[in-house]
Amino acid sequence: MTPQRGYKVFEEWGNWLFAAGGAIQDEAGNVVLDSPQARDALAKYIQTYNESAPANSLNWAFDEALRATAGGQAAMMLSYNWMLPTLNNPDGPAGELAGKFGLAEVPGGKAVLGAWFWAIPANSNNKDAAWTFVHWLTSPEQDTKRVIAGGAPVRDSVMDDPQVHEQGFGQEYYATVKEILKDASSLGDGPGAEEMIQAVGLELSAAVSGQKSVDQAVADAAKQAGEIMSK
Amino acid sequence: MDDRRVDTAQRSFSRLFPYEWRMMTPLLAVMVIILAYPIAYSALLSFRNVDLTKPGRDAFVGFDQYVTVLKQPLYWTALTNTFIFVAVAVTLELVLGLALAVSLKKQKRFRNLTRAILLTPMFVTPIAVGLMFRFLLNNQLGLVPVILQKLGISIDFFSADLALLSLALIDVWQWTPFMMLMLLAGLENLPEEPHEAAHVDGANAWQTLIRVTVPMMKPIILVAVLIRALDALKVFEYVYAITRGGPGAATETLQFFIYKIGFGYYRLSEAAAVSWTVVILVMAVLVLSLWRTTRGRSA
Amino acid sequence: MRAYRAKNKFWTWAREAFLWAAVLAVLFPYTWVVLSSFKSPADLTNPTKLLFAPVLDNWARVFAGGIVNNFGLSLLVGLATVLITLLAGTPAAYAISHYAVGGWLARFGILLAELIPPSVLVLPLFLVSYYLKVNGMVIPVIVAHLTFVLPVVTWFLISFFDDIPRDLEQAALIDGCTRFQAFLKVVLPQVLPGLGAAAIFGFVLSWNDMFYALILGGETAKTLPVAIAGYNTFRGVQLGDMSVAILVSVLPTLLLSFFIQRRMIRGIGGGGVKG
Repeated sequence: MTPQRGYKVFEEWGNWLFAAGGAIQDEAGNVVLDSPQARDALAKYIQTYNESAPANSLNWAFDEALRATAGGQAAMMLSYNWMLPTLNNPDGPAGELAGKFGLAEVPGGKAVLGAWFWAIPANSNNKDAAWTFVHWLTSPEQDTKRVIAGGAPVRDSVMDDPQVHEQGFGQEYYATVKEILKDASSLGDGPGAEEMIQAVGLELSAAVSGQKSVDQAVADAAKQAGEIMSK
Repeated sequence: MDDRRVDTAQRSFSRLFPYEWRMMTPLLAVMVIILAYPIAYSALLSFRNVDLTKPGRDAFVGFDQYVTVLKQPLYWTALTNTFIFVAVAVTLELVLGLALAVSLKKQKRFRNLTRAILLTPMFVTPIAVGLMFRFLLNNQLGLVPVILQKLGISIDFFSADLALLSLALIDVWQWTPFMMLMLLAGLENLPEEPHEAAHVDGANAWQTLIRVTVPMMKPIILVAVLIRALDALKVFEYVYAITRGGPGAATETLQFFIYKIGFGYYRLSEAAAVSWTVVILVMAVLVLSLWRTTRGRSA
Repeated sequence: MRAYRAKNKFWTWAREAFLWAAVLAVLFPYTWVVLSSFKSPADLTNPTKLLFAPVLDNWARVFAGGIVNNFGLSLLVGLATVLITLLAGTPAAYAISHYAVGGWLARFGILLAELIPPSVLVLPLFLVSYYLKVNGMVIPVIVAHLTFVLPVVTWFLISFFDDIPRDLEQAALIDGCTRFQAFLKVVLPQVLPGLGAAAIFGFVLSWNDMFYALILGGETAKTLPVAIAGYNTFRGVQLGDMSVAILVSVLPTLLLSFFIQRRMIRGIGGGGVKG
């Protein structure tokens, strides 16, 4: 598990929250984090940490989880889908275990979504040139090449492309990715998102480490998130 | 008596720009060029409400930022954590440094080798030291827990209770060499007579150390502790590399707090305000404590 | 008599044990770093594996990536910073110490710059370097390093000068020197060991800085700490490569400190801060 304060713990716990039927913001953008589902999710997360996670791993982030899994000391990890190629790479960290890893959807069906973007600044002097570049980059041919090399797909069609299946990482991988993307939600939107994620991440970490009760942590997290997102 | 051969013009020049001030000019020039603008900028910044995510809303707001900052509980947590970190780390460094310096002085063989090895931790950039220890102390992946487990001990180095202490110990690993260096130098320069006198009077090694050696080293201890403490106040890399301020807010330090606000949330004015509160606080402490000491000295 | 000697032997033994324990505590992390630098990715996942087939891939990759360049840049920045610091700081420390220029305010005001966190100073420094079009070069990095090396080293030097008695200068003046000649020929040689110590201290401060170098030097003026931090990617820490980079930064300084630390210690004590 990756209970490190901030991004990591929230990124991971978000899946528990969604599985419990909870949400961070509703359609109107109001923070609805303070819910019985959230408390349930957090209690279960802490239980999982105490019972199934490696001992003494409160500050674990992505690195530690990857190495523990790759080294066979952990059976599975909740991580980014594009880590599968790394794990199955015979020259990679998994060594002898390479090729034995598979990707599965998060139990509960709804995953936390993370994404990268290309954006053109509003006050740019080269808007047209930038647009030409982005247009080219996201075209089907380029997207195919990028995805085969291991990049995250922009187009659905690329994930169905047999050429990609063959030269990339196999049909099963892309099919699973499509399934995951069907129902995935980000942690927050807008300029306040960073701060909100940090604030909630702090409270979650406090709960996991036993410094705060589940109820207190969820309430505090929701309150701060509300204040931040409404600024 | 010195410039007897100069003419009138040069003499008035000397009066306008006396020798001692001319000696100051290189420093003043460099400091004005490199520091005047940044310091003024950051001070002014703290009185505005610059937020990069809300461009165009920049205005003068007086002390508003300071009030916002002082009202945040996390600020006070960061302040407390940082001072605890500094107190623990510098004290340990002083004690260990002294012990090492005393032991080194009496070492007969391999002295140069030991000293050279003991000095190296200073030269590794802090973020590398942080990452090194992050993996060394990792329960599943680190060498230290493996050894401890053979002895039947299981420690969570980065638990809510121990995280700050662990970071302080990492600081001790890296910076005790500095203390050791300063104290060793101070030791090498102490006169022999008081020590011999103490020995003649029947004092044992420990008593000599505490009653004779240490008091004589007070000035250098002061310098070393001050420099080290000022540097430790700025602890950032260890937090960033290992705990990101967690668990909870257990290792939230001032620099990390400022970094998040300035570079994470882009509220530059607020970050500047936090920085200036720290500067004012520490200067106040410094001035008060040193004024009393130097008053005795310069007399 | 026998009791005294036995006690002495115990303390000698205890001292030696303590020293070697300290050496062990220092070398232990390095051993791990050295081992990691020769490990393949699969072996890196298992840190306790002491017997493995060493590979040179990490070393090849890191050196091909230009680590020597980074080392050179760090060296350049460090030497430039120290040179400017000594040239500006030495006469000023002398003036503050021997002529009480600026009094008490100068002595402590100098430390003000030391206190301002880099997160805040970096912004105006970045803006200035951007507008002067020197962004991404070594110049802004050197300037940034000066902001924290110059004050603390000057402050350090003041205590060295405090220790030189005024009569030395007076004697030189009586012999017909100008004050500046007296400074150069009589005072400065006395304080030279202290200057060496301060130089090394300032160099270490500059050598270790990652923050300013990262933001002001960017990709084009990458110093060693920035290169090392670069191995902390979003895809995880590249432990093997980073270990090599750490060794590149430590080994030369280890050799350096072996040869210089003797003079360094004599320097700090000799010109140094006594009661």
